[in-house]
Amino acid sequence: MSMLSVRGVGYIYQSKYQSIEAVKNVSCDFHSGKLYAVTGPSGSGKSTLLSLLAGLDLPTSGEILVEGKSMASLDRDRYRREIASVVYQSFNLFPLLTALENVMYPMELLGKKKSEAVETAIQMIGEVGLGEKIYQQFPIMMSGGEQQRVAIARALSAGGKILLADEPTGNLDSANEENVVELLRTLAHKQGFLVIVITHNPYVAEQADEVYRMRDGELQTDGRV
Amino acid sequence: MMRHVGNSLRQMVRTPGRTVLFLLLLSLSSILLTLGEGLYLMSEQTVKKLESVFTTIGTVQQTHDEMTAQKVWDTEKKAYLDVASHAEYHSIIPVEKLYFEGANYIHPPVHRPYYGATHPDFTYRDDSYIRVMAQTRDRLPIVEVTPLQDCVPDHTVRLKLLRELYGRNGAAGREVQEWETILFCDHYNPNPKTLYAGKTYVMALEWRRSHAEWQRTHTGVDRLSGEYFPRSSDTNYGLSTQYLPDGKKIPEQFPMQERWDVVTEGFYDTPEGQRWLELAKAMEQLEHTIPVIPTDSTKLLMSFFNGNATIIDGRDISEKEYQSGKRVCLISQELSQMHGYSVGDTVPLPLFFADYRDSASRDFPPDSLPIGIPNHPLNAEGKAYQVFDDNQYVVVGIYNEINKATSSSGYDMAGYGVVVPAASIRSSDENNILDYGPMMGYNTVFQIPNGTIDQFRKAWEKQGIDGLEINFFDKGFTSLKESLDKIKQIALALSVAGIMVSILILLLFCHLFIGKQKKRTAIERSLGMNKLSCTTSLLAGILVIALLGSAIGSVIGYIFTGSAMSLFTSQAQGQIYSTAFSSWASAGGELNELPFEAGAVSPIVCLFTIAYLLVLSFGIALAQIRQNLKSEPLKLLSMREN
Ligand SMILES: Nc1ncnc2c1ncn2[C@@H]1O[C@H](COP(=O)(O)OP(=O)(O)OP(=O)(O)O)[C@@H](O)[C@H]1O
Ligand SMILES: [Mg+2]
Repeated sequence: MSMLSVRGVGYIYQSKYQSIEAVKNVSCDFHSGKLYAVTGPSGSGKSTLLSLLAGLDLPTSGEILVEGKSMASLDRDRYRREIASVVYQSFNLFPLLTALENVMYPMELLGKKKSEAVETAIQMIGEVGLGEKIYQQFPIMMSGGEQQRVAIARALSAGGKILLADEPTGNLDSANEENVVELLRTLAHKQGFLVIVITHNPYVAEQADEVYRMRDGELQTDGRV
Repeated sequence: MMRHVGNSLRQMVRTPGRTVLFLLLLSLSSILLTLGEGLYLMSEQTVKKLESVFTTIGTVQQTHDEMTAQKVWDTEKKAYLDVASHAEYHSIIPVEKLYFEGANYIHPPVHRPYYGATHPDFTYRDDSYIRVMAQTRDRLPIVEVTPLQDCVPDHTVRLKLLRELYGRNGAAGREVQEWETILFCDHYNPNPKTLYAGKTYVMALEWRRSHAEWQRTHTGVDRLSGEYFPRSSDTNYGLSTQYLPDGKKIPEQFPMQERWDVVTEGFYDTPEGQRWLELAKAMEQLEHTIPVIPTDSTKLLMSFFNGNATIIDGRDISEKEYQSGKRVCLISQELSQMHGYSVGDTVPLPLFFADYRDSASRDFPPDSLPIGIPNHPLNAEGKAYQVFDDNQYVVVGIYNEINKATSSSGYDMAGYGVVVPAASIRSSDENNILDYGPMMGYNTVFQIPNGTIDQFRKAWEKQGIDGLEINFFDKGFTSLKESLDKIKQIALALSVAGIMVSILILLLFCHLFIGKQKKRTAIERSLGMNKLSCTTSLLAGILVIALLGSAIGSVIGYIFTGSAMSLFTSQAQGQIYSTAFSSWASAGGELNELPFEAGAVSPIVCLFTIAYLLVLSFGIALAQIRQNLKSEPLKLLSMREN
């Protein structure tokens, strides 16, 4: 059974003045243990689809199934806390918390002991290639790449089975890019995670098991590279 | 849960400028609120306290229609001299005029008399008193005399003393001696009648200094002893000033035709002769007379009202005793000392006359001897007054007057005086009205509720009644109340300001700390924090600051209230001192400072302020948080940061 099944999903941004149909009738399946890449031009609806997969809102039409159960029937708070973690395109770190505190946050929500949380956080920060000096830094004092990696560390620390990453390597140099991609591959292939990465980067897409292409909110079939 | 709160506080602390400003502004509004509440409660309590401590009384005085100056012949100067002018009243305005619509009395005005109580027990043990009483007899004797030769007493003449109906020999227990003479002159009479040797005359005399000419030409006792003139030489003189209760004078049955009567065989069996015996009897009775002041409340007696007279032993007569007319009394310290009466003892009070004109303190001056009313002590029938109410009274308290009158204002307590509930005198005094006059400040007093002077005055002015002067005494209550009302208004303004400021501050800071942090909430939500945790984490931050700010502010506000309170107390002391008895002071009284303290405010007001600010913070913050949680995190997170 697929971990995530997308069934005819559409999403409309509704504002006072206009409504934008960002995702249109998308259907596809995502399996655990695999690394997926989603590509497509800017504004094609990639981030929107990812957010729907993260359970940040319910689709306007269609439905998403998590291990066969409709997302609408789930406790989505719990889903986000325990199953799916996201690396956002714009990082979304807490500006008033330090790197360490940011990384520890999901674990605190899970009720982990503080010492355990610190240990895991330090480990995750190491894994994304950051040093000790980042621990007490606030996001505003970090470079874009550092912020991005802290965001990745935070997503990893939650320990859920789904990792959704929106342009996780956009701000990284090639060495770090490789490191992160390797990390994602390991997660998918060795630890059985479902990893979905949005990327414009052909190198990253190459490393994926499957690639989807989006255009004008629609998912292009047969996107395999 | 605690960790969310910790994260929330951590984030507030990391914007210290904003947080400290929030704390300060919230403290400020808390100061305003606490000060407002505190001052309001303080003035409210102080007014209550004033109400219980203060009384407002009014005195009624009929204004005289004219002053008439009297001219009296002076034999020595051979001229008419002006004597003190006196007030004339064409008619007496009844007290009922004051029972008008709109007059709200606690104790309505009563044109009250003072009573004379006589009892053989009221004798004076004091040696000095006996001496002075002898002097009184010496000064106002009633005697039978005969001239040594025919004479016209337009100068000092010597008369042989035949008998004393009332006089110094009697006081000393002696008989009149064969050789005794007195010096005499019909001093104030422009046309003295001839006195014939061999005739016996009876007259009521009064002593005065000898003429200068006499003093120059005589030596020894003759020079010093002075001379007598007939008391009846006053043009209005009568032995009786008896009135009916309606204020009409009863004509004397046997008015004095001359300044003396000629004593013939059987004269004392005639009504005219009886009259002299009665006069002597009445004079003697006055030596055993004490003044009794009936009232409906001790506060209606000016000396007690202004604190000049105080109860030094026992207690005051209670409101209930006043109402029910229980036979209890307050006695003056002099009376207590003279007779050894103490609290709990029984005093007989056989009342024999009522005086509606004069004040007891004038007829029985404090700290002096009760010389009484010797010029007109008889009733219209020429008889001494008979006791009309004879009851025993229990002494419940002993009073002392601190500043005894030096003037003759009439407002003081009488010497050897007794205060009784007016209602305790159940027998009518209609046949024993020794004198009657218009309402005076010292005999017509009423009590109205505190703070209603203006209201009363307006209602009274509507009556359009001339001839009565009403003076109010409230020990400065009205002006104190006015200042307290002002303080109340300021307190209300402070409270309103505090409420407004606190609402604005909370709206602003909840906007900054919550509304502007939608993104933070969205991130928290995206990480799987549920709505309740988001709410508590945000609320906790605001509430901790609100608690801190309101606590600091309310303590400062409470301290400010305390200082405002003591400032007011010290000012109020001055106010009481300066305004309270100003009119009373001009009436001859001494000022007495009243102990005054503003009402205390319990520190519970601080809790009120804190509770209010916490509830307000809770409400406003919660509304903001709900706003944050309304939309799903997707849209918020998909928007680019600006
Ligand atoms: N919060 C929003 N409100 C309204 N419209 C939005 C919002 N976020 C995105 N959109 C619109 O939805 C469409 C899809 O946006 P989305 O961010 O999913 O694109 P994308 O494929 O991720 O683009 P990029 O590669 O630039 O990140 C766009 O046309 C965008 O203008
Ligand atoms: Mg995007």
